[in-house]
Order: sequence, then structure tokens, then C-alpha cells
Amino acid sequence: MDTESPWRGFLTAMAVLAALLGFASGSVALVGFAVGWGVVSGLAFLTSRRRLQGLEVRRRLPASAFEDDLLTVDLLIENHATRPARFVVVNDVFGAGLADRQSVLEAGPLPELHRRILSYRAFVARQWGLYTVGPLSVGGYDPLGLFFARKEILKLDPFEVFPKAVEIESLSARGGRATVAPHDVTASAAGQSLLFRGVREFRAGDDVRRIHWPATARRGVPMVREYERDLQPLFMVLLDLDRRGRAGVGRKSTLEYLVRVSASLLWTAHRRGDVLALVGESDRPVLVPAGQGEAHLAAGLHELVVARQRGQVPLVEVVERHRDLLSPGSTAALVLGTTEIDLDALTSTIKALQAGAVKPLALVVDALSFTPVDRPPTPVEVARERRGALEERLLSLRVPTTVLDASEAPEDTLRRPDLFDNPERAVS
Amino acid sequence: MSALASTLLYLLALDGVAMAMLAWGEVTPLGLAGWAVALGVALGLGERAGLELASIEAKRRDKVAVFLGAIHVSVLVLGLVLAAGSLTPKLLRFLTHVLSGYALLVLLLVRLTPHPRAAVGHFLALIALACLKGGSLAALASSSALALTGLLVGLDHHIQLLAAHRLDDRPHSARAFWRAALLVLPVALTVGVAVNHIAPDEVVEEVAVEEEEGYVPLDEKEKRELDMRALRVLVLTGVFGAVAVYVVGRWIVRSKRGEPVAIETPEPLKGAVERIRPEGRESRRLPEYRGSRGRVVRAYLNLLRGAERAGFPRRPSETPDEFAVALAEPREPLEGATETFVHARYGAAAVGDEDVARAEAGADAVLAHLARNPRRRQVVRDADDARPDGTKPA
Repeated sequence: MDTESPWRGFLTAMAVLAALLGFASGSVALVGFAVGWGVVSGLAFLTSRRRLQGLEVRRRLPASAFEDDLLTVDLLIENHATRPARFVVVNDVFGAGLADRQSVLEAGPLPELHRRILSYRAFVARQWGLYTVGPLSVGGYDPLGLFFARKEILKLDPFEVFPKAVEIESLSARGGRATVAPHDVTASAAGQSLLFRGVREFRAGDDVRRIHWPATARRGVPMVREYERDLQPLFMVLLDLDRRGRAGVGRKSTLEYLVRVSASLLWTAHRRGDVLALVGESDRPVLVPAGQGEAHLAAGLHELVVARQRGQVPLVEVVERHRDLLSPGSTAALVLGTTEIDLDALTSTIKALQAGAVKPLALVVDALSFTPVDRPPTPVEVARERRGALEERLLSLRVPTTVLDASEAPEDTLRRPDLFDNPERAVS
Repeated sequence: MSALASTLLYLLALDGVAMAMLAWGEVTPLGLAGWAVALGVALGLGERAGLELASIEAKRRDKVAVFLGAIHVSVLVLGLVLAAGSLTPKLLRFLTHVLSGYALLVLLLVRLTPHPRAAVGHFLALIALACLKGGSLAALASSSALALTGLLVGLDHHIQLLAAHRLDDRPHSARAFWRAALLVLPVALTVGVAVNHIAPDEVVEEVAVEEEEGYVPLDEKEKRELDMRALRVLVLTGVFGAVAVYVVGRWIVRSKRGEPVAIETPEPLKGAVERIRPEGRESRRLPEYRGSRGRVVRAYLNLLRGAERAGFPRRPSETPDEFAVALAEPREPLEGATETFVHARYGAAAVGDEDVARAEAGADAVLAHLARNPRRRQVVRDADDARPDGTKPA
């Protein structure tokens, strides 16, 4: 509802006309009508201002959501005044939604020193990225609705929209597996395995069955046995943020495809209960260490949302730098931004990974199929040749591979159950 | 609430027609009743036609309504200016009859627009005609018009507000009505009384024209022609003026139009009302102690307050004995006040007048000593505590 009353201007004009006619004709009644309307307007203005006193409003909402999510935003309206509040209008700006403003009404009565929680549902209609929610305003009309007084709370809440992730079915047969004994990765290095690590002093919470009696007798204080932690296979997404892979604009850009593919990989790994990690090199390092849980997934998605293709290091080099983090049995998902890769270097990297019992898989975004932004277009034949060569090399190394190009939406491609079953492509 | 608003609109229409008729028209009570019925029927048909009109595309409906409204307003303004310029009873009567008849058409088309502004403007024009008469009737007309218009505007606002937020308006009808009434009715009453007091006499006295039977003056035909000419001029000027107003208004609106703002007014999910508990603000009220025990406690608390004012506050973790050791001087009265306080506050034994006297005397002595020899106590803060200016200590 518009805050400007449709009656105010109209009736004020009528009152002015009445006053003029009254003066012209000497009619006191017409002048009285005009004066009366002026007094009513003045009182209405003062009333609308007075109603704001003691009203406070706060917002409560999650810090992030996926694209197309429907989320609930709570608005806490508090009445600190000494009289009940009625017809309180709260306006909020939800940046990730389509509407410019969300308006809710507390018709009341809201007693003094009480709060009411009103919630509105907002549809996350914007594309992934960083948005703000706010400013928030609380206001009220006078009893005639002629004036609207509002108080703005200039507090902006950041809100992150994550790319819509799809579960990659074909990954279920491959990749990392959940750890045998899941535990918090931030715990001390000691674990539950059978490999003896040493003894240390007893700490509160230690299992008394682990007390090492001989050492206790020697030292005079309780000592406990420590064991090495399990070797924990993980699912690591290695993201290519090399600036040479930049192509396309908006929703048809390599960055868009890279982010969506990586988000889906992280999401799928999280759904399976894998320990997951994210590594990349842009103008700053992108590193989400191995971990589990929703907060960890959110951290990974946040890095994707703020990532830019400004790196100068090819993915092969990034893999070499972080290979030590991959324990045997882990999966390294290589998300490549281009097909123009040094194939020999890639071959040696993959062989090194395979030698360490790490299972690589490759998802390649064919940058040459996108509209070029900073170089002349590549001939179709050349692009096709490079793509074919890359696929052939990866398949010869028995690396599950899929190549995404600009003609197909990444979500549709990733949903395919035969995503990695493509030996015939290499042949063609 | 819509029914209440329609009733108010009807009352405003009836008020306008009745006042104008009583002022200028020769109308009998039966005639007034006839007008009341006619207006009621017209409004009923208008409300029903609103459902049919709602099916027309809103943009087209608005265009038609704005155009008709512009014509309407122009004719009304011209008529009123003419009436105020020459207060001829005949002209005023003529205008009263025309506008009263036209009121029926206005009520028939009242739901052409979401806000019945044209109808209200029309009825206010009839009220203005009645006001030109002067006297008590004019005072009553202006007062009632102000009251009814205010109530109607208030109700219409609440209807629009609640409908925009998808809330049922039934539980709020009475509240909306009384809120508007509280604001408008006192002013309307004051205006009526004041106008009646200032100008109790009628402005225009109708001069009786004696007509001779069987004789028709020669200039009557000319007068009728003049009346017709005046009406033609009025209508033509009104129409052309309205077209001009419409075109200019449209041009102004278009030139000012910015980006349309999308506003979502979802039906809010309403939570329960809960009491606000002030965070971090503990009650400063002391527990009540009655009798002698209370006097001892109050005496000791006065001592603490006085010590705090003098610069020696008790630390939150300090017991009474620890505080006494820290303050140290004057030793005897301080020990006496502390000891009696501990007994009165925590002990089960009865507290006598002696204890009260000891505590009060002790507290007075300590405060007197502190007044003579003020002491400063260093306030100890945790290292993590922020300083009053918001910075953290190094």
C-alpha cells in the first residue's frame, strides 16, 4: 500500500476552494469548514508522529540460503511505550527477492512492554551472490490515514545466496567414502586407531580404561595411552580459477559453470557424509580445510560465492601444491575451467595422484564454447580438437571425465546418471 | 467495515442533498424522504455495479474515471464559483436541483474507482451551496460535512490498509471507527458551534417576486433564454476545461513517473505476544524487609550507598565482613553496623530496638567519617572488559 493518502491532497484542495469561496461570498461556514479541515490535518500529523514513540523493531533471519529457496524472516516488533500500539506497519527490504519492499502490518493491540513476532516468507529469486537485507522501518498512520510517520533502522544484514546445488547421482558409485569413525576434525591429532602414539598426562574427560599404569607409577601422576587417529579419506574439490579460463558473460560464463559444478560436488559429498575440502588459487588462495557438517559446507559455498577467476596458477600446479593433503582412498575432483591445458603436465599429476591411491575425477568446462571476452574466437575445429584430445587423455588414464559446454545447463548435465560413463566420446 | 463505509457515504450524500434542498430548494418532508430513498437505491445499484466494473481492466477503468472526474470537478468548481460570485437565489436553486439529480448518477458510478473521491467532492459541493445560505443551517452543514467526511476517510483508510495486508477487517471495524471519531468529531462540533456563534444570520434573503395572474411579462422568455445560455456556457466551459485539465494533469503525472516500485504485502505469520524482559537491566528495587529487621537492613544499605558516593564502592564479590575489613575505619561503628546487618539479614534470631539503634548509629558514624575523610577505591576490572569508551585495554 502506498504511504501517501489519496484523500489528503484532494480534501486539502477542497478545503482551499471552500476557503476562497467563503471569503468571496462572505460565508463563514465555508471558511469554518476549511479551518476545521486544517485543524484535523494538523492533529492527524501530530498523532502519526506520536505513535512512533517507543516502537522498536528487529529482524531475525538465516545468514544464507540457496537460490529458489523460500525462507522465513522474523520481525520482532517491540512496544516500549506506556500505551498499546495499533496498526503498526513494518517495511523491510529483502535484497535477494524480486519485490523492492516487504510490508507487514501488526493490527494490534500490542500491549505496552510486549513484543510480537511477525514473519514473512521471502522467495530467493536472485542469482547467487552477496546481498543485503534492510534497512528496516517501522511506522504508523494517523487514524485518518492522511500522514505516515516512519522510523528507519539503518542496520543492514548481509545475506548470502548460494548457487542451487544438485545431487550428482553418478558420483555415488565413485569418489570418497564416509570415514569409519566420524569425529570432529578440529580435535587433537590423537584418534581411535590401534596404532600406539605415546603417553601423556591424564586430562579431564579421558577414558580411565586408557590409563597407563606403569607410566603412572613412574611419574606419580595419572598417565594415559594415546593412539594415532584414523586415516580419513576425504573428498577434495580442486577448482581452476585461472584467469586464462575466463569466457562468456552472466549466466553463460565459465565462472558461473565452475561455481555451480563445484557447489553441486560439495553438496553431494556433504549429503553422503564425506569429509570435504575445497582448494583453488585466485588472486588470493581459496582453501577450505577438510571437515564435515553444515557449517563446513556453508564455509565452502561462501568461498565459491566470493571466488573470482583472477588466478595466474594453472590447476595442475594447484594440485601439486596440495597433494599432501590427500590421504589414500580420497577423491580429488578436478574442476577445470578450460580445455587448453598442458596435457603432459596433467598426465603426470594424475599419475602421481593415482600412485598415492587417490581417485581423481575431472569435470571440465569448455571455455572455448563460450563467447570470448578478452581474445579472438577460436575456430570450432580447433576447439573440438582440443576437447577431444583432453577427453581422450583423461579416459586413457581411466579418469572419470565429463565436459560441459555453453549449450547445456550445468544442472541438467550434472543430474544425468551416465555423467561419467562416456567412453564413446573419446573415440569420437 | 465496507458496509459501514457505504453507510457513511450514503449519510454524506443525504446530508449534502438535504442541506442544499433545505437551504435553496422548496422541499417538503415527503420530498426529502423521496430523495433519501432514491439515493439509497442509487447507492445500492452502484455497489452492485461495482462487481461488474471490477471486471474491466484496471488501467482502462482508471483512465475513464480520471477523465470523468476531471469533467466533474471542473463543472463543480465553475458552478460554485458562479454561485459564490452572484448569490442569486434562483441560480442557487437551479444549481441545487441540477447537482442533487446528478448525485444519483454519481452514486451509481461510485465504484468506478477504488476511492470514492468524486462522490465525496460532489456532496461537498452541495454542502457548499447550503453554506452559502448562512445561519444555523450552514453551521450544521459544515459541521456535519466535516464529521462525515473525516469518518469516511478514516474508515476507507483502514479498509485499504487491512486489505493490502490481507487481514480480515471485521475485528477492527469498531476500533477504526472510534479512532477516526475521536479525532474528527470534537473538531467538527467546535466548528459547528463557532460558525453558528459568529454568523447566526442568513447571508442571502430571498426576495419574494409578486406575479400577477394572467399576465406573462415580455422579458420572461428572454430570461429563460439567458438561463439556458448560462447553462450551455457552464457545460461547454466545464467540458473543455476538463479536457484541458485532463491533458495537463496526465502530462504532469507522466513526466513525474519514476520506476514502478514493487511492494509485497504478504499475510504475516503471526506469533504470540510475549512480554519484553529488559536485558542486562536488573531491578534496582530492594526486597522488602519489615519491622526492626528492615530498619537494620536499610541502615546498612544506606551505608553502602554513602560509601559508593564517597568513592568507596563495595565490590560485587565482597561479603559484608570483607567490605568492613577493606574500609577499616571507623572500626567500631563499622563493625557494629556490619554485625547487626548480618544477624538481621541472615540470622533467625529476633532483632530488637538495640540492634536497630546500633546499626543506625554505626551507619551514621561511618558516613560522617567518610564525609570528613573521603577515600578512593580502585575499581578492578577484568582484562577482557571493555573500557567505557568501547576500546579494550592493551
